[in-house]
Amino acid sequence: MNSTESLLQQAARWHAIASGRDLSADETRSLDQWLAQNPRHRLAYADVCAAAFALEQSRAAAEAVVAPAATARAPRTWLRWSAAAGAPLLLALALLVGPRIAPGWQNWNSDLYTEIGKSQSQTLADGSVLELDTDSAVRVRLGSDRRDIELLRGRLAIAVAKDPTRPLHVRAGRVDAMAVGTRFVVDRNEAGTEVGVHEGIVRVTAGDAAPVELTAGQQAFVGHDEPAARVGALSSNDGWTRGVLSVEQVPLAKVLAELDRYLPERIVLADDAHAAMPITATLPLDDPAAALRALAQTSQLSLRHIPRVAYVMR
Amino acid sequence: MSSISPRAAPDAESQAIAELYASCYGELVAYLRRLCADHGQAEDLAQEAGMRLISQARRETVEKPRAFLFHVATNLARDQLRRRMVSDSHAVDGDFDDNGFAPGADHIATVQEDVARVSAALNTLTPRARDVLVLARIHGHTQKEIADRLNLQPKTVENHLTRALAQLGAALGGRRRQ
Repeated sequence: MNSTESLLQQAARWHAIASGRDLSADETRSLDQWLAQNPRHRLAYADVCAAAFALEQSRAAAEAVVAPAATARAPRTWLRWSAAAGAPLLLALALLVGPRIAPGWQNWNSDLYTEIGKSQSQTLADGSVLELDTDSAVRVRLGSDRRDIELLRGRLAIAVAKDPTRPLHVRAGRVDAMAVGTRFVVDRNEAGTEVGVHEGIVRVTAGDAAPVELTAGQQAFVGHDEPAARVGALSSNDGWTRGVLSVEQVPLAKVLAELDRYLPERIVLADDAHAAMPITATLPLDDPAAALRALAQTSQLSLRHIPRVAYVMR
Repeated sequence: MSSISPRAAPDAESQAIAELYASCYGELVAYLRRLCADHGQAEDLAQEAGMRLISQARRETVEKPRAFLFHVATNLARDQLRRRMVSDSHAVDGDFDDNGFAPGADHIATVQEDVARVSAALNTLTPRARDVLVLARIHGHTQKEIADRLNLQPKTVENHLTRALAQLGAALGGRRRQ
């Protein structure tokens, strides 16, 4: 590589070489070395890759007239679309949940985190017991005049050790739940943040809105786009702290969305028609794959697995 | 009640997208691993890109599903790389903003914007560079074939292609500051 070329040109030259033919073992090594030299090299290479994939989707490029071709050649395999391309895709695929990328950087900045399918219980220095559900992360700061737990993602339950001089705050985004001594659950998911109180009193504040006080048996939900908390009766139970998902007359889509949190696979419901099917079941969360199989079986649906995705279909 | 509509198509269509994703998965992971140098992350990003393809195909026809899949995956990787650079260069303990962190929530818009930018950037290329690019990347010709056809030295073809790709890459990199 010419060292006077800009990073983008160096990246583009690698891309020009690498997609025109197979790289030799030596070339492969030098490309990987070049990428490893500096994160900026990776980013420049990724920019060129993105541009190349954008080009493949560009109508302007497809319609561009080039100096007349002598013979039309079949596209090489690296350019060939699937036979499915262009066919209308009208299917109702119910996507149960939003994006999920296990963010390594988030774990790195946390004090305690769990992998998908794992849960963890920890007694904090003040005697409070913190339980983390699947795929969750927290930061903990115990100060002399207050205790702070930041829920970076996922769901926690906390039994707060009584200490009136040091209120305990759980913060999830712009939602703050404050308690002195109580037991409650905070669930931060794609739709918003839910605070459910099982014992005692919790004060919930969403951003600049006026705080609301919840007592045992109540919950508050703050959607991502909503200014204030909606208060209602506690609807989700904390069975997960005992390793089970226990539901009564809950729509299938919602149950699958819950199970999805515990599985490395993502779950896709292939037909909206089944989304509302009411489910009553107690499923083991220590083996979520078995739970999914059991759920599919009792709903008379079948499972189909493609890499890291499970389709639930008729 | 409406009459029973024929619903034979959906399963075939979902199957086509599912099969495309399944057949590309290995290649996609290998590609992402090269980009990120992290096998676990490569698999996570491949899965995420697959879910987004499935979700987008549900909303509307994806004309180039394979390019779409790889493009979304590339953009997810770019997000991660940028994030990694930020957390490497700044104090980690600071109150960095992950509130409202919805990873690439606007990914469809981003892909469409990238395509529009690249399409526009095509007009900024020299006619020769554009011809080389289109012959190589749209019509699938080898550089040797392009050299023969346009009566150029092979090295000249590579240079044209390099400049064209760098220019398109620059057209996308400009978005980064937003």
